[in-house]
Amino acid sequence: MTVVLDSRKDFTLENLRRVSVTGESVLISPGAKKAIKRSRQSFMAYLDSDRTQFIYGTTSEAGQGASKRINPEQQRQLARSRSRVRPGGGFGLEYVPERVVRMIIFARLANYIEGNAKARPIEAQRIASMLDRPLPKLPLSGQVGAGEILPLAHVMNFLPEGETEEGEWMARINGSPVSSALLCDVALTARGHLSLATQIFALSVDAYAAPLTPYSASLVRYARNPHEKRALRNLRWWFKTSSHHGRIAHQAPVSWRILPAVLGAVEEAVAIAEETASISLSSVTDNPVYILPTQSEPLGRAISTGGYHNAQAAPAIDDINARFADLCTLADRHTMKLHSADHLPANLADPKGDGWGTGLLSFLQVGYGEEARHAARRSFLPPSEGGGIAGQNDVASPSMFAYQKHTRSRFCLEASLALLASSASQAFWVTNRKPSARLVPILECVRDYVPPLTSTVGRDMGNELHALQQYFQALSLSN
Amino acid sequence: MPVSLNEPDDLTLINLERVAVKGEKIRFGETAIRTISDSNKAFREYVSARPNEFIYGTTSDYGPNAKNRINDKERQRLKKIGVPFLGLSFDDKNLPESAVRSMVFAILGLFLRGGSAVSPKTARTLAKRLDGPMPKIPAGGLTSPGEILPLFYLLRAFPELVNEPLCASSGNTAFCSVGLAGIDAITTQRRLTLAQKVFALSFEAIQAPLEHIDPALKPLWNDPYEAVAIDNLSHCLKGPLINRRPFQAPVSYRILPRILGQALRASERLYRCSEESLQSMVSNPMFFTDALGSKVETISTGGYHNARIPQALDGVSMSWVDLAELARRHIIKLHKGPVSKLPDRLVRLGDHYRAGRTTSYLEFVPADFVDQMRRLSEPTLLLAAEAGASEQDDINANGYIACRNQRQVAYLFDRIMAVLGGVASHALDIQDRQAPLELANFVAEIRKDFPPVTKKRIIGNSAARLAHRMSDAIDNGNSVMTETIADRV
Repeated sequence: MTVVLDSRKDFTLENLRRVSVTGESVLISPGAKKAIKRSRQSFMAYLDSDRTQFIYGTTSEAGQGASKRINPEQQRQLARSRSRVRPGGGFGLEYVPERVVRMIIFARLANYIEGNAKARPIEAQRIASMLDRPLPKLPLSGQVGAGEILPLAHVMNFLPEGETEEGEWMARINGSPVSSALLCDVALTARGHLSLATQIFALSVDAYAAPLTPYSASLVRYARNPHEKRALRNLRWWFKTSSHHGRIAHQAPVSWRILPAVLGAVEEAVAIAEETASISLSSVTDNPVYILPTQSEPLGRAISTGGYHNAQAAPAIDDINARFADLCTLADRHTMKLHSADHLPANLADPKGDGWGTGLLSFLQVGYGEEARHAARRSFLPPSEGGGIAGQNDVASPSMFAYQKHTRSRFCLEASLALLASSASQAFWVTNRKPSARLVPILECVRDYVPPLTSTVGRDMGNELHALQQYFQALSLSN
Repeated sequence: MPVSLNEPDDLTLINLERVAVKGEKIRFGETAIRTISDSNKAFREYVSARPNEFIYGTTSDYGPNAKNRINDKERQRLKKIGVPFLGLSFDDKNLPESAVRSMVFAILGLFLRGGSAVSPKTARTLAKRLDGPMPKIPAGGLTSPGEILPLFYLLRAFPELVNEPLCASSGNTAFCSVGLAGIDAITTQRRLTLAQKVFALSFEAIQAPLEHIDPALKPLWNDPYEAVAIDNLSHCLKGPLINRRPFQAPVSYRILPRILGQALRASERLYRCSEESLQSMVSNPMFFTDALGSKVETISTGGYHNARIPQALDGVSMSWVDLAELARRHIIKLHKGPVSKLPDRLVRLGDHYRAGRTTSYLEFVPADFVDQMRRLSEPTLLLAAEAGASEQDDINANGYIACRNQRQVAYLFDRIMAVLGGVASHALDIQDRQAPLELANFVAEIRKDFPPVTKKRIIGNSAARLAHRMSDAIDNGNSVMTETIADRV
């Protein structure tokens, strides 16, 4: 299957998912090609009407040289000389996932599809064709600079060869498609992580034999916020056929009772990521951007903007990272309480076993939680002026930095949930109980990777838990 | 006229401000009293019919002793003993009176819908308490599971909350964070209005091309908040298109509408979150009549823990830091002649910076404040530490921490706005340029405290006075500085 792009309306999260996860190609529709061509013609007429007017990177030099105007011959020469984007300079130990590179290429086309990139149709087709070729590797580190030229250099260096004309080369590397892609990836995957977390915490509720009253339908009806309502409904779903019997007679610790509130905050963070991802994906962010002709401006106009700085991505990703850290904290507390509750065997040790139980799991939570909290630090605008040598490029975009932390954050959440799930599984095992019917399948999956523990002899818990974390990762990403 | 509370929709932030900040009185209307009365009666019947059901604090003891069941007689005995703590927290300062009033307002919000099942007498008495002074609550050491530490002070000052013969809850709710965040939501809007005017002034001072805030960008960027920022900046800068830079301004100017847009998004989110929270206060335990919930029941909840408020406040704090970082760049750029194309160091033609008739070197000052802001604006995560010597109370509510940090960050931000406002105003003056018409009154206000530097003086004092006046205008909303920017397109 191929995703057909006709206008900016086609830049949806669903189409993005098809291109990036399912690996589909992209086709620029005939109508879009015509629109791009018309726009290119009017841009050239606009340029030719006055080649002394300021059009960043076309009638002026770029970056620090923005104040220097160049003559028409120099303008053409500049365009010809930039027909190949130079390779990026960033390097590091880790790389952006391949699906995200596909997202960047897809998002890049939003500037082109209605002609705002002021380029010829061939340029849009060249970019679209990158999805059918070997993909560039984009290092996670060394990508925080003004605009997104640093990461885009890595990606657009792989653009098929071909000559460029005035106005085209800047459109390749300006704008903020990288932030859009990173935010979209977080939005698409965070929903899966939230679903998984809700399920594992529901398992923990049953494992602790906690009362179900803090998740009452009355609270759904009473709440005014849609995210809180949704979190409660999703949690309640797992207890659909559960009995209130066999649970402790008094209230469970705070960490169980505040689950709806904490999950509600995660719901809100995910919803905001989804909303801002949708906005970002379909936005035109070029600098300079070409405003299409109107009756009052028949040639259109090119204007300098700050479109290359996506201000929504880093805060939205940071919020997800913070909430994942909170979920790790709750998972840590649940794991500890499962191993120390009065009504459960100490350390969840099987009385017929060697007596150690799974107390180790509670120790392990500490490190993943700390790491998650470290990854939740804010991605403020960097204080360094970096490339602002001559005063122009004085603020860097922190989106990649936020995403880099997110990759750690989601790993820590998966690990922390693996530890909690294994603890819950052990709690059911040593008390010979079963969870609510809807939770039985996930419990069985957990036990496929980490069987209940009677003796530590012959067990490599690290390997088992790692396998469960990887299963959780796959589960979250496929949701 | 006192604020009248009848329906949940009366629990608006506007009413919160009237009561908490402006000191107005509050009264329950007939509808509310009927709801409260019905709920109290239904709860008494409920308890009487189910003496063995676990109802936290009614048929059980509190906190670490929650698993200990008590009967009616024991409950009365414990009530006579009273609250065991007179006050545990301490700090060099107390919370402002408005903060305590906002907390009481939030508790009244809980009462209003009947979930706490207090009697009308208790509800009315607490409402009347707002006619007089509030108890002093230390501004530190207030974080615990739920918000019981500040609650102890209210229980001591308002014994009707403790003496209520039978109710589900007399305030075990997120009253502290919801009340404080409500006020913060209002001040955030005003602070952002003021910030947009200051940034518009800076934009004008450096003569940035208006194409950076061109309305044609609104449909391209596709973001409603960035659109508002573009409209607001455009409105402030209305006037003849003269003397703009012939090429693009530095990035810190071009990305202004996008960073402001994100701040507007954060502000709107805090406002919505605070008002929704105020209108749906949940306590532990919570009593639901069939009109309120899905069935008649009393349930233990985590309603004392509001997790969305810290998130919303953190978002606002982050925006203050990012805007402060932009402002710092602007202040530096305005003094850097080769970049700004203004007189270098903002020294008048023919003058020398050593004469002291310039704002030069003031650009160093914000770095200290921004550094503090960054530290205070790290996210308010759930505290990883076990909260206390209780298996029950194992996670702290972190709303107060987020409120306190946001307020500190916001006041530091005002200092940076004062510096940028003073510098931008000075930049216009040294070139004999007028402020745009829509900013004329605003610039006049700035110059009352921070006039253009025409002779050597302690400029830090000017900036401090202006910062204080800005903060005051924001807190009280009674100045031209925070007047709404009109003409939304």
